Amino acid sequence: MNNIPQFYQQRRIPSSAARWWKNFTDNKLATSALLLLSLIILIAIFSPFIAPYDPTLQSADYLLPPSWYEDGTSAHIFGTDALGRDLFSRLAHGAGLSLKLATFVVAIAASVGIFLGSLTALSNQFVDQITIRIMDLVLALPSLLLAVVIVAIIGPGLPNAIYAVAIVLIPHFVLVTRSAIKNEVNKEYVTAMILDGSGKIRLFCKSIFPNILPPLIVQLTLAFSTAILEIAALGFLGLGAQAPHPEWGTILSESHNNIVNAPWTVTLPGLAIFFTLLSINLVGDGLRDAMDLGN
Amino acid sequence: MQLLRVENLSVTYHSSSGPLSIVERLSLKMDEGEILGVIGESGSGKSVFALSIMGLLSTKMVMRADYLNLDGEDLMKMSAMDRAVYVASKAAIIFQEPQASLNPCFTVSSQLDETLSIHQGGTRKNRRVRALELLDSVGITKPEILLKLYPHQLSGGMNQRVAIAMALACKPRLLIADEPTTALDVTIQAQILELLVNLSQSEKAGLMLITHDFALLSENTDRIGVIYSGQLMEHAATENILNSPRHPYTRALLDSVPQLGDRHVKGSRLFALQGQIPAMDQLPVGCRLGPRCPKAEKQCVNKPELLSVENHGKVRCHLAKPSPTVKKPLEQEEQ
Amino acid sequence: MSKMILRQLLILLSSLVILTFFTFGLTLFFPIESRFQLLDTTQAPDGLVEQYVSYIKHIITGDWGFSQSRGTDVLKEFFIYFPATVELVITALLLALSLGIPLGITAAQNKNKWPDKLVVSSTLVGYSMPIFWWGMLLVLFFSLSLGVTPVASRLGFEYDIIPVTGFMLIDTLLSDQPYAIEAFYDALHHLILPAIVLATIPLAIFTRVTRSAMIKVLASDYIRTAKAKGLSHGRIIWIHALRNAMLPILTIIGLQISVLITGTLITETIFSWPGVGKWLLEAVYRRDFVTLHAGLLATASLVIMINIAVELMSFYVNPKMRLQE
Repeated sequence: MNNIPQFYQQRRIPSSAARWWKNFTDNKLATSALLLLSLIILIAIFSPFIAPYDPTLQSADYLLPPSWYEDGTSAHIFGTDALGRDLFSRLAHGAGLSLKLATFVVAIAASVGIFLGSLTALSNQFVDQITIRIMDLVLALPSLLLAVVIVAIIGPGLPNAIYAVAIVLIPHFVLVTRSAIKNEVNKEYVTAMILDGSGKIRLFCKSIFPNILPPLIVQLTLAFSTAILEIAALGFLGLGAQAPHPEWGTILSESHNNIVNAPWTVTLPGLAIFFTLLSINLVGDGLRDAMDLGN
Repeated sequence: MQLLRVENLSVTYHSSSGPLSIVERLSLKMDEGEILGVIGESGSGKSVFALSIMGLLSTKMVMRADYLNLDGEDLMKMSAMDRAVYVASKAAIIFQEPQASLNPCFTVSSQLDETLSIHQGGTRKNRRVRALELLDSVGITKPEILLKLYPHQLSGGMNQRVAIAMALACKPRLLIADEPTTALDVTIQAQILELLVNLSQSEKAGLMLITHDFALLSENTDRIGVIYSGQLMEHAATENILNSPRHPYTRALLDSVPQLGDRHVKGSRLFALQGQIPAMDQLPVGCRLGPRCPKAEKQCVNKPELLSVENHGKVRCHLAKPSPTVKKPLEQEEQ
Repeated sequence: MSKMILRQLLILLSSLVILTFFTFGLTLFFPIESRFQLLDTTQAPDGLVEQYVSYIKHIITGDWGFSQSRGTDVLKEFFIYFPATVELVITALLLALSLGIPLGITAAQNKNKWPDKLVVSSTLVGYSMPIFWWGMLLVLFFSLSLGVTPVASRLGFEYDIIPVTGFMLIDTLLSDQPYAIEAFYDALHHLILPAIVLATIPLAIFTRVTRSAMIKVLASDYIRTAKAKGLSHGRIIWIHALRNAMLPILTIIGLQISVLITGTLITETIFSWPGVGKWLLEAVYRRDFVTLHAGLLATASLVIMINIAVELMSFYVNPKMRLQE
């Protein structure tokens, strides 16, 4: 049958991970966002070495402007705050703190959420409907309000704020996991595996899980940026990290009063939060496009 | 009289990795009242060709042509606005998915009425009478009831009839049907096809029937064009194509139609063309059918031209004998 | 149709019941003296079930307890602060919708050309904006540097307006003071900046959702049919396409309500806006659990009701869903 002359090249089909990576790197905006995010992560990891001063060390040089101002000094490139603390050191340590906390929060929320979501999707109709109702309800509650109430009950402070944010993030993971699994379960390849006699656990790990990874990855990046934002918001409202801590939201709320005479103490911490969120969101968007999930 | 004349029509798709040629220098003609079959695999560019005549290409696609004459006017010389209005009054198109081609948010009546108010005008009452007439002419038995319904409440066949009625509302000179029966049940397919053919005869409109199924074309069409990978491979009268196809691709398509009853030879195998249609960014060198062609030879790595073949039509193949008036006879034997 | 409404009412009811389970669960963690306000006696009834029944009785009869810091009826207090928040939220919502939908449509029509790229990158910026910082920046620029907008509160203190509806824009017009019109413009002036801050994230999201819904709709066969029919461009976009794109937009409006409420907590703090958000935060600082409980229950019920209303509206917009029953 195969009498076709072979003087034409064959086409190699890349793996899906390779295809995603190629699609992602084709997107210039997403790639530069990934570079920016890597830079922020590097600063966060090496902040103890990069930061020239102790972030809580106070000095007499209070409200010193950044080095690019006329009366700024190169000793404090981002200037100092009202207590004479070096702003660059505070922001660098703040990056470490924010990313560490957000990673922790997302790890808790994702593991609980994915576990519950898988359980719901694979359990019977009744349990499924009840869980969906509850999750929809929790999602309908304003997230920050819920976090605020939780913090009010267990008391302000960093660890409690983290638990509050993690709890608020769980329902998203439950719903995304559940709907992704429900989508896959009815597909023919799963039926084929069941007919082949594979067990429930093998079915889930080997065939369903790899196929629900794309939406989960996108949800992870989304949750990461939400976590950073909510932790900072709680810090800003005085319910998260407390005063000497170099947490970005806390720094912003401390400098609220100096907005007129020292605007850089407001603009610089805000820019740090903004660029971190922007790069994460751009990477998330790029991943969504690369994995062809649409909206 | 000539209804449609397309000369060197090309469509380029501007993808993220560069421009791709979806339709390449396609030329064909249609006379008034003629039924032209356009056949090709999915992905061959036949639907894009239809959309480009109608001016419905997405913004990422650019169409160029030397001539695109429709009922005596060259569309390429018109502004985009004039062209849209002119084409809407002269031509209509019917799509493959009947459910998708009607707006799900509006009733049949409001969609038909909208079309009539553009092309015919008149009072609401007159338009309603005309709408009922149109629905009646496409074989709908209780048009009054149907008018009040939404597209999702109708079956696929019903939807397609409504789509045809809507297409007829502008009294088109040219009716393009892009795989009009593919999404329908087999029993409905024949009805819809018959309806299209009869309507085009009674309205004296040209009908361009686009399909991937030779069985649909054999009985109804006057001429057939075979498209592969964006190029016209063969273009000739229906009986020539069916009885003595000159292009290996046309041959392959014909051989892959299953024969039933007496014509079926027991134990014979159905022919299947190897491989699949090439991706537009991975076109082979020379003849685009080359890697799949059962008759490919060394010379096929050169691009073949679409040449006239005596007593037949036009063929794009090194192995087909062109008319002696054109040039260079080939030494190869015919299939 | 009536079956549909009945079903939505059932969902509403069951959601509210689950909500009370949830808030009741939260009260278990409250200090004893705040809890007892929501139960019948000064002594806790024996079982959880009796406690819940007693709790529900209080909630239904409107006896939601007295503020621990001010001694006032919290439900009454909620309705004093509520109009200010509603005024802010509605203004922000209208702002976001009236800008977001046209922007999304423009972007979709010019997909991958410069207007689209501009809109998409602006939405990403808006979407990534920490609004507490954004609010401070706007105050720094418009209020402190340019001096064109007020820094805080709902109305200049030179005006004395008697609250009738609680909505400042309406109350100023109802007022019989000689400066009523002046006060109206002043109230509008005070509203602008907080509304912009609150509208930023929903605006980005509405734009994105409109854009992607429109892109999907514009590529559909029925839009091709409409074009082939020779309909005008405006009619195709605003009637044939938008009507179909409305469904995802409506869904997202429902979801954004809770985002807007979250935003009011921050916006009202920055602009000293005397609304529910600020009221609740002060309750947190004073550890006033009765107020906190009332605020959470009231806003959550409202959000649930709005979501049901949006669901009903989407049945109206989409004949497919309407006629399925």
